[in-house]
Amino acid sequence: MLHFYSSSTRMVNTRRGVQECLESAMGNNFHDSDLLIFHASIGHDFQEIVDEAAQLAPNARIVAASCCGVVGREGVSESMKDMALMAVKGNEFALESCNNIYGHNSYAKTLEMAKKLHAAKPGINMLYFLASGIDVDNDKCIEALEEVFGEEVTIFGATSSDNMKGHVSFQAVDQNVYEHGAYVIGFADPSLKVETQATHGFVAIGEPLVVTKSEGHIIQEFNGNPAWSEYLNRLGLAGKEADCVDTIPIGALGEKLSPELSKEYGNDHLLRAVTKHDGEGMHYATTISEGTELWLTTRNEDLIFSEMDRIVEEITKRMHGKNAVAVFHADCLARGRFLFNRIIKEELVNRMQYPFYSNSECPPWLGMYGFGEFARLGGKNTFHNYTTALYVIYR
Amino acid sequence: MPHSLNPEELYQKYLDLQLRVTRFSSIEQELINTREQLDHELVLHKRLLKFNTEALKLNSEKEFIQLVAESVIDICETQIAYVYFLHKDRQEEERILEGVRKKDEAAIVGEIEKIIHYHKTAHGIKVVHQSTEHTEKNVLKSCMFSSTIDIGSDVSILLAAANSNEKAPFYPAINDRSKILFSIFVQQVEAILSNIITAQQNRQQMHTIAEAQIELKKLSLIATKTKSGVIISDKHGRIEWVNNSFEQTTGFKLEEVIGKKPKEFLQSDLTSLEDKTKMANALAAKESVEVTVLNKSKSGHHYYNQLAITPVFDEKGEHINFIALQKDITAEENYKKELIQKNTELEKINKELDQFIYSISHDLRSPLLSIKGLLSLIETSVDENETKLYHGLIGKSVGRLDNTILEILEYSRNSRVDVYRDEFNLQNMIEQQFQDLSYIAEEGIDLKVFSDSSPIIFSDKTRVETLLKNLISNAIKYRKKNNFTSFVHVKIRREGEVYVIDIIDNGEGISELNQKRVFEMFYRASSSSQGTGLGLAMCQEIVKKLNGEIKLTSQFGEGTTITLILPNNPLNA
Repeated sequence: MLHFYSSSTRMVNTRRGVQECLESAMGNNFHDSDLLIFHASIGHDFQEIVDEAAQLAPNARIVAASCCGVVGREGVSESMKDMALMAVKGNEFALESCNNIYGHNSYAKTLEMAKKLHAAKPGINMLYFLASGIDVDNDKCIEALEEVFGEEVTIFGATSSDNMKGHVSFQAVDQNVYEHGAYVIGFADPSLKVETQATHGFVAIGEPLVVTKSEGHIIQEFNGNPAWSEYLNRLGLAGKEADCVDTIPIGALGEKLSPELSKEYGNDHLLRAVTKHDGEGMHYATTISEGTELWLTTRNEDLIFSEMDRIVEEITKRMHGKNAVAVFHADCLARGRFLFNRIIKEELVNRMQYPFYSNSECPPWLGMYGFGEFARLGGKNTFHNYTTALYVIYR
Repeated sequence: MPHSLNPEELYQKYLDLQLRVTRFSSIEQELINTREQLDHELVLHKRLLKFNTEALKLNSEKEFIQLVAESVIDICETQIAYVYFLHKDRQEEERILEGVRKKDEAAIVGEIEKIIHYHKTAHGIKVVHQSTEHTEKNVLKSCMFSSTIDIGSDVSILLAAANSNEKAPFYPAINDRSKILFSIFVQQVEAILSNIITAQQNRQQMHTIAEAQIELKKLSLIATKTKSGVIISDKHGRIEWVNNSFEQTTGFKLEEVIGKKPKEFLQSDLTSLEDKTKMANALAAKESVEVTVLNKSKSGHHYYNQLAITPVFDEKGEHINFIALQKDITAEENYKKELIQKNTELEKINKELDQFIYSISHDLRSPLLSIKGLLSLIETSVDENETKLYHGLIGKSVGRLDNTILEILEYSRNSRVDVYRDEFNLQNMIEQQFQDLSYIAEEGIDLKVFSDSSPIIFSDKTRVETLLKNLISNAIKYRKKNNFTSFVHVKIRREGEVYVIDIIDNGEGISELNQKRVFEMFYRASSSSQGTGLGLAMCQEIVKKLNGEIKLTSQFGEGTTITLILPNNPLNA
């Protein structure tokens, strides 16, 4: 049976940060942990994180991912020196990883991992997936995982990020640190179930940008014009030296959803982020076909709050009164300090955590501000951007 | 009437409106960004406040500089922090580097120190951006550092914050905003480090005081409980404190002597000038001195005081006190005197023993040789009368030998046997001796004893008997030959606790030269003497044993008077 423990801290010294996380999460028993999942902001050295963790918990498998900030039971923190940990005890899990995953080989790389994982541990009933947030085709990753484990196995997780610069993101597995890596953890504890749901609270505006030329996950033209220039023009950033760091907060692109999915999602559009561009070519988060209409969006604060309350209510309903044993949480970095001030953000986090409290205690909680989120929509595993995605594991 | 638009115009208006809406989003985002920036700067200032709070709780410099290094990163939001700390007095230097992988540390420190050395600033903060042309050579993209801050004369600290080329994209560029924050931070570091060092010095002083107090307690305990007298005086020698032992030895209480100089009430007139001078010179020169002086207690009792005086100086070398340790060594001094006396006696005994061995060998051998010669003559003699004469002479020699041995035994007995007290009548004893010795006189001699009362004495009867017998027999033996008016008169009188006995004769008398030596062992004053030379020597030893006196007055050819002064109850004399 798997047991979960969490902690978060903001500490300049990386090694001491690791030590504090382990001690706060597990007391003096951290030496016995079996799996350590770290999220840390980009100011930490990831090699130091895994080295220190391996020294303190020599029997544990270790994974880590970079992000723009963390959310733990202790609250929200968005700085260069954040660190959060979910420690797991028990052996009902398997871990696989890969390096050099990009948009063009996302399917193949993920498929290889999925096969190994399937072979390594029978009975996997949920998958925690984390990949680089830059230049990865996340739909293809989902497709590859589903091919091995089936559509019914829930995939949750996130894509790693830097501090919204779109420069690089890090993934670490055991003693190896990658810049274009991915890892997937298969949980195989039959007593556990997981509920996932995502929400964004943005509203589409104006006429759509029509993809007139694309290749895989790269958009080359909108409305017959070079994609990046057209995109900046529509955002009012034309003529400025704008980059992804400027476009991400305001440049969410909405894909139209079917009426059925719209109802479940609470929104007509599913959002996508652009985390990289090579000249005019924009790296979309999933495969994009020509003719796709993409709407610019604007945030709606009331909707953000009301939708948050709604998904938390729906998740708790589906749990049928059972207790959350751990909550994984992925939030879009654009929903962090670039969207809300600290007070509103903390209120938002409090509203998403409180319903899962048991005996006045927040369950172990590992959240991050990254580039993308995975959560089920319409009964299918789906990749999202600009959302808050909650993955509540319960028994 | 409003102007009606054609569809193209209407579509263009729609597109314009659409752009306005999205541009509004970008303006809104700019406002959010500005708010975020202000909010974030508030966070940084809160971190500065947190640094102050945490730093003020710290006690050690090492912990503080580690916190400084971490806080540079936290507050200035740079990747790397470097702190150089130097404690000149302790010859300690510390370099703390934060935010760098171990393998990169040497290269980063080297480059930071190179930048500081090249761009060093006399005052304030210096920001250095390394040229992008040299990026391949340089590890660092930019660096800001403070001038060396001197905290007092012993401690200095230098701070630097930097971004590497590798990680620079993630970090805000080092600019005026970060320079201001860094500048404020440096000022805080200076102030807090100064506090820590002052606090450390205070703690050190407190520690020293506490240790000194403990030491003082111990010393006080020793000073109070020691059997030696302790005097603490000011630099002028005026008493500030004395211990119990001093009070017991001298009889003076602390309150009686405070403010006084010891010499004013302890020094005896009997203290030698040499000791007084020695002590005065040492005290004037502020030097330690050890001297034994004869002091006088409050009750007037004299005691030998072994005194060790040490001057006390403060940490600046100023003379502040004298500490004197005194010990009553009267018992030791008396013992020393006794030893000296015994030693003198031993020396005398040794000398006497030598003389004795010489004399005894001579006096014993002489009659033996005489006997040996006479025996040879007897062997060869055929004349019976001659043989008889030789036998008679052998008999005399044997008598002399026996006499010598008896006197030696008597002399030895006097020195070995304790004085035994008894009550007896001196006059009766002398009359009995006149009777016993009458056989010596070949012709009539006037022997008389005179006493003003019944002379009952409490003394050692045997010794007095031997004493009188020797003196009276000498008076009889050395009378003038063929003088029919010879006399030996003994006069006894009591003077307080002593009896004075004069033994007066009108015999040969003793020459002035011999008078000085007659009491020596084996000395014979008269050529006609047949004695051993031990008689008067033994008399003198007996008188000494009885704590009395013996005096001799004589005139050669006229007679001799020996005066004995014998204490009644000699053990108490």
